[in-house]
Amino acid sequence: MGAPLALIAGPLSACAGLVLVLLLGLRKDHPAPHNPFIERCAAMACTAIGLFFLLNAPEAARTELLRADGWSRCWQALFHLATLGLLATIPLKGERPLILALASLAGLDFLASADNLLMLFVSLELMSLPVYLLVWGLLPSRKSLEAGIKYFLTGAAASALFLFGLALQYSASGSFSLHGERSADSALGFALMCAAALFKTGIVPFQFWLPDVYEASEPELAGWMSTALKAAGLLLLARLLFASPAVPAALWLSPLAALSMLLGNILALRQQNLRRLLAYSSIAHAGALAAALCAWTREPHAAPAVIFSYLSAYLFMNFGGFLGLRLTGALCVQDLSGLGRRAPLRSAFLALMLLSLAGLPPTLGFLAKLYVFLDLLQAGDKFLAAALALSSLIGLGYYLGLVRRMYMDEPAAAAEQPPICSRMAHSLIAVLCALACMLGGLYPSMSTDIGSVLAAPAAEGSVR
Amino acid sequence: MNIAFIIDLAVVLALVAGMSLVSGILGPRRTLKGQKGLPYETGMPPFGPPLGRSSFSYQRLAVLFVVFDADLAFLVPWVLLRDQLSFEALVSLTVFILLAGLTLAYLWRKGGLECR
Amino acid sequence: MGVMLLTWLWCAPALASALIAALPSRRLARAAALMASAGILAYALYLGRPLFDQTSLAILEMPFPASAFGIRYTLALDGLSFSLCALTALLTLLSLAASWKSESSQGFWSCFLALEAALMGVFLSRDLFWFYVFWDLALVPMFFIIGLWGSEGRRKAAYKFFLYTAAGSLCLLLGLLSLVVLHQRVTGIWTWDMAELALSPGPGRHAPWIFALLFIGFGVKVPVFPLHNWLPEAHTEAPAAGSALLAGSMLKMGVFGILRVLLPVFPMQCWRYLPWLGTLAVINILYGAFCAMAQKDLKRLVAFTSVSHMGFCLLGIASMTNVGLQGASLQMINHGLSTGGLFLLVGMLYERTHRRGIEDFGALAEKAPSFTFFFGFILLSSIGLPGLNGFVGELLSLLGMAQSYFPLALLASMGAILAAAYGLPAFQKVFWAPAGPGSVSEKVMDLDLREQLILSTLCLLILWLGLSPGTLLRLLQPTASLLARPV
Repeated sequence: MGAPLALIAGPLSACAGLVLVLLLGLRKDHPAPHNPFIERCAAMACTAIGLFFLLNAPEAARTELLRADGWSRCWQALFHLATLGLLATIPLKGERPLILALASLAGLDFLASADNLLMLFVSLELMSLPVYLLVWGLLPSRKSLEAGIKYFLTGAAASALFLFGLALQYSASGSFSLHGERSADSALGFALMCAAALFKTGIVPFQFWLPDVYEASEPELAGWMSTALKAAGLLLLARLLFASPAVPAALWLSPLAALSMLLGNILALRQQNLRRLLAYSSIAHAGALAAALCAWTREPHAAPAVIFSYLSAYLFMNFGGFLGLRLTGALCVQDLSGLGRRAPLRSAFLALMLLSLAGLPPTLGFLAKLYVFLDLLQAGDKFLAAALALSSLIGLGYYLGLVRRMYMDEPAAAAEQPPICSRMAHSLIAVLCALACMLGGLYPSMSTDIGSVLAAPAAEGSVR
Repeated sequence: MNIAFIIDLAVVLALVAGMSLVSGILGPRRTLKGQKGLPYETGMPPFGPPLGRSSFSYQRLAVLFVVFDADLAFLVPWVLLRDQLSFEALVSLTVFILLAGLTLAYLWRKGGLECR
Repeated sequence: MGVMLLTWLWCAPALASALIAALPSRRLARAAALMASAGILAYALYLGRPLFDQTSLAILEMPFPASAFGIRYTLALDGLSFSLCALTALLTLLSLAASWKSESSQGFWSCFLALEAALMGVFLSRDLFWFYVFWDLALVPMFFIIGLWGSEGRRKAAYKFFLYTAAGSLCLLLGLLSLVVLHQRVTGIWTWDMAELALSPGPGRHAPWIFALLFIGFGVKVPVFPLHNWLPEAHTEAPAAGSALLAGSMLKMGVFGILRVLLPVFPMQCWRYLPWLGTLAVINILYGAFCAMAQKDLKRLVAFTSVSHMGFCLLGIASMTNVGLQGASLQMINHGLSTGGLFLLVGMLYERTHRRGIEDFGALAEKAPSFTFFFGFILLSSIGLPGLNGFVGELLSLLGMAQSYFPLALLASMGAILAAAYGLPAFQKVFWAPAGPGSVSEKVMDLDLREQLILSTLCLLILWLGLSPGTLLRLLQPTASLLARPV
């Protein structure tokens, strides 16, 4: 594979899928409500081929706008994996959600390899715009309309912040490069851009949109947003932090990380709606990721692998968690009562995901949390380590509460029990998530191995 | 002011005048009433309550127009520089036009261009 | 890689647990669980055989190379681990046999074997990562055992048990990680090996707070006085078999942790804080005893005697003498046998009458003579009657403390007297005093053969350890002499 192809293998496969789905869509005229099997397969095949190329492409290449190396490929693989899960499970009426998801994947892929502020912005927009429509359009209800508009307006505000910061930075330095000299004038510009990244990640002062949006989205979509888009936001934040001038990141990011962890978990304690609950839990997890990022700015050795393994663990357990909500059909906390007896396998799966999210050994979630702890302690950040421990404990309170409800409460009246979803794809992906969570946790160096293999070329300063 | 310009001007004026004349003679005669009779006619009533609703399909067409208009803007430099560009650029832009065309075809097929 | 003999000691119950959960009928599950636990006990004894001949031996197993951050799967079986593993296997077998008649589903039997697997893992691990994994893993089956098959207040008790002990676990995790990271910072070597971390130069000026974190982590499990709040409720609400295993094996995790991690890493700190640790131990002993005196519920009473007896373990450890440490280790085993037995007995009473209050019974001795005999026997062992096992452990702990800090030993010996003061009146009320108006003694059937067999196994062990503790002490002695402060 040639060097230029290495640069765009990821987005190219996403675009190929997009074109394929468009072409297939030409066969029928008016959108009749059907479940387009062939289109779904085509989209998944293209994404999977992209993933295959990403895993088998060792070359590094670089242009003015993009660069391909272990670091970018590692993130692109994560995005492709998450999107595969979404494409396999998302409920469809017509092929349009597939097109939107693939377009967003192309944006995600560009974001991972972007090496220029302008390119970052363009890919950020390409990533976000289809998602507004996905949130709004998949469930045509008042609630999803409200969520879509909220998401769009706040997202547009974030984009505006980013663009404004970009302009300031350009006026200060005269270039869009991420690597140039930094003057003190560009500090404000970077602060604004970082704010946009915080918004995309859902870290505390910019987390307010998240519960509303997740509550109104389909569980699969929420699972994808909470993993792929969060990872993208974190990636953006990391790029900006390492390019940004004077002000040390740990100074302002670590209180925000601690606040996210604590606030997210405390607010999740009282939630009745399960998707809102997982949304707050994802705010807390974003805080833990931000904490790892803080440690990275101080101790640059192992941290990229730590963040990446946390994200990949989070991909499996949080997507699995949302999938569990779909599989059990549970919407609010009461729906879980007595589920253990009604649907033993499904509730065992959901319980495993919840315990993994809580970070209990021997699951993947424990390993991820352990790495972050190690990283924080290595960087000497006792304050954040203590905050992470405290927030884990609070988190355990509600994750365990859900498990208790599933197994130890009396079931609701038969009429009120939500229907159980039994689709092949959902069950298959659930089995994959469960295996990853269990076996990954028993092999302590798996995620760091993958992380260090993929990110090896990134070690010497590709991020800087 | 050279002769070519004067000829050009004359032809344009003749064409415009001729077409108006032909339209006036051949076209159906009707008096324009109501909104149609307004001097500034856009398809949308120009007067009304400030927060009134407008048809969504109109918005959709407007957005589509902007999108494809922006796509078209990429073609201008290509047309201007076509003899200096490499073969690679030719291929890229052809692919680009094809993609835009495909999208347009998809929209048309799905009924996105119908004003309902 | 070899055959991985030790790995099977925790893998076998784990596999059995998974298998039993998948069995179609509950009667089949019950039989399978009993057979599996008997097999595991036999296997544990078989593995420990060489240790009797050569007591300083430790069977080591490290089949895999070190992975990221120096984590390396390492198991070892020495005298202390072996005694605790054997105790766990024995108590699992007896508890399962005691709940033979319960109508519980496959999950019940599966949970017990999962718990056994986790406990074995804790007692075998020499790598702190795996130690912690097993440590935390043990919480999950216990949570379900209490929450699903306990008595009325089970949901709250299970939740409280889990959160309380998980908070302790998090402190432990922070402490362990700080230790490992600081060790790496000073020596440049990533290691989680307990032996390599002993006397680690890493902690330096951070030692006090790492010590505190670890002590809180282990102390919640022991439980040490201000951290004991979860215990009475969990013990009371758990099913009899669960309480027996909780008291008999799970509480030992804390003491085991102190012996294996805290003392080897921080001998200086332990020595410096000796009076404080001793004071905590004395508070545990006296507080547990006084609380036990006030109880009207037999199970709560036994739960508080647990607090008191674990105080003796702590006392022996705090003395940091060879004698005291041996006493503490012995006391762990003794407490497992006698308290486990008492919980099983109370459970048998509860199974018959669904009552646990002391006032609910009276004059049981006429109705159920063999029940009276076994209860009396095991209670006397728990009180510390010379000739039975409890006496030896307490005596050695007290002797150890007397060597290093006499006043505390004097105070702690009060506990032995108090034990008689709370144990005997309760016994007298239940078995000899005339039955009150609300008494349900009429309903009590005497023990059947199965129950007699279970209890006589315990009684024989109690008698054997009381009369000749030498065999077991020889097994425990190497660890103790390693940790004892040089005189």
